Amino acid sequence: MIFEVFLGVLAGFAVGLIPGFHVNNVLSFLKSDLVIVSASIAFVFASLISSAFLGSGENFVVLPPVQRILLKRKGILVLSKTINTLMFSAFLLPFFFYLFFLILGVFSFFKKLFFFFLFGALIGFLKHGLKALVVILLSSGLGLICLNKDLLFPLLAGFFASPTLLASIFMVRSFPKQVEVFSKEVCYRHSFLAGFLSLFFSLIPAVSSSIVAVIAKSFFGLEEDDFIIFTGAVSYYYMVFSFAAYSFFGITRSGSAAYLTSKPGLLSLLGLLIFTTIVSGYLALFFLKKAFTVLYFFGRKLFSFVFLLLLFLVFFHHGFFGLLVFFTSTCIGLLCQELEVPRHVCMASLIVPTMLLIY
Amino acid sequence: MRKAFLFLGFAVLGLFLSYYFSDDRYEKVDPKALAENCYGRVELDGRLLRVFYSKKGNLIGVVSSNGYHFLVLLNGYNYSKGDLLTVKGFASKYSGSCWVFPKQVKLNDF
Repeated sequence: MIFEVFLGVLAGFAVGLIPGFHVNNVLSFLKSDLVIVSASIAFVFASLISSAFLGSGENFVVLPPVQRILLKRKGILVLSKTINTLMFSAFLLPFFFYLFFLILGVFSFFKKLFFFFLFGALIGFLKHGLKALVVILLSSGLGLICLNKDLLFPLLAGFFASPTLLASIFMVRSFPKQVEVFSKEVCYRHSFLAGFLSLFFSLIPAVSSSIVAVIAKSFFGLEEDDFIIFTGAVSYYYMVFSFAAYSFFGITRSGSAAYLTSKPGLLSLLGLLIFTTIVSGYLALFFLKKAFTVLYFFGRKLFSFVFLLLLFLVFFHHGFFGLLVFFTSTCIGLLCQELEVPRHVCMASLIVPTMLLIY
Repeated sequence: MRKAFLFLGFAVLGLFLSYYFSDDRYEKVDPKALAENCYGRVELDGRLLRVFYSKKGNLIGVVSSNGYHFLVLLNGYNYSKGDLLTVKGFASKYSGSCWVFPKQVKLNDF
């Protein structure tokens, strides 16, 4: 059992450290539930590190907060703070699981409000003006074409992974070397806030953790450091709540939960999540500096390799039509960068079809 | 701005081509494989074992194929117990059962 957990942590970590890669891409190779849960948690930690390097450089029109932190040389400091916060969040799980169980009990009531939540999110995107409307129209059109065609991988990889990979491959100049100072600080406020917001938003289809972070930013005025810590915490809670939803009521809210072969018991799930979080957290802290050094030197080659790997995987799983969808979503993602529209607006590709299905 | 127009042009072209080439192809699946990995666009042959209305008023059929049972949403169709059916649709796991949400259901009467 312990062997399976450690194997899962290592697998999740290895996948998470590859920029632009998701644990969902390898779930079919992981045969045991223990390995899937531990790999998914470890992935959340490792992807914090690798995502910092995606798209870093000075040719970006709008720099995401993580890259602004890198330019200020505070990458290791902020990411270590994020990892500490995630490790603390593991100890809040019994409390949040209890609340989550209560909310799931009245799930059917919330379901009726999903349409309005999603509509509100679309209206929120429009605050970026007419340019956002163009992106919404294009991405929702592509989302509707891909509806019921099992093409989520090329669709989302094109919107979110490949534009940043391409920008990273062709970047003008890399970011400066980071100050090697680790933080022991824990952001209790962000951990609680992310937990409470994820309780509700993780149940709404097509609302990603980045959208939750943007909502929190508008209401609570999160600064760059806070935004990164908060986004990390929301991603973590999204993952653990997806397992909790499957454990309580058999509802699958993530690719990882969908791959589980049996419903895990609540206590064993809690124990496994807390244990895996602590192990993954310490592993992430241990590898943080080393990963930065490796990615710093091999970044561009690694990004090129990952981009080619993505192309191969899309073609292998979805054929020429998948490649066409990947090409189109990549163009929309690149258009976002050029128009200075945040890329989470591309989530309209999932939001609009979901609204139509609910309606 | 020139780059933005270039990406916009490619995106519109890609969208048009995606729409043009998006076909409704369903893969004929082995019932055992479908029961184990209930996901994707599938074509399934089976016998209608039971038809019932859910609490929300949806017409649901239990289709049996090679001993494996699948739930099929049959709103708008008028089939009865014992009919041999060919169901083309999207398979997905929901509440512990394998569902097929059909695009097309035909009576298999040969």
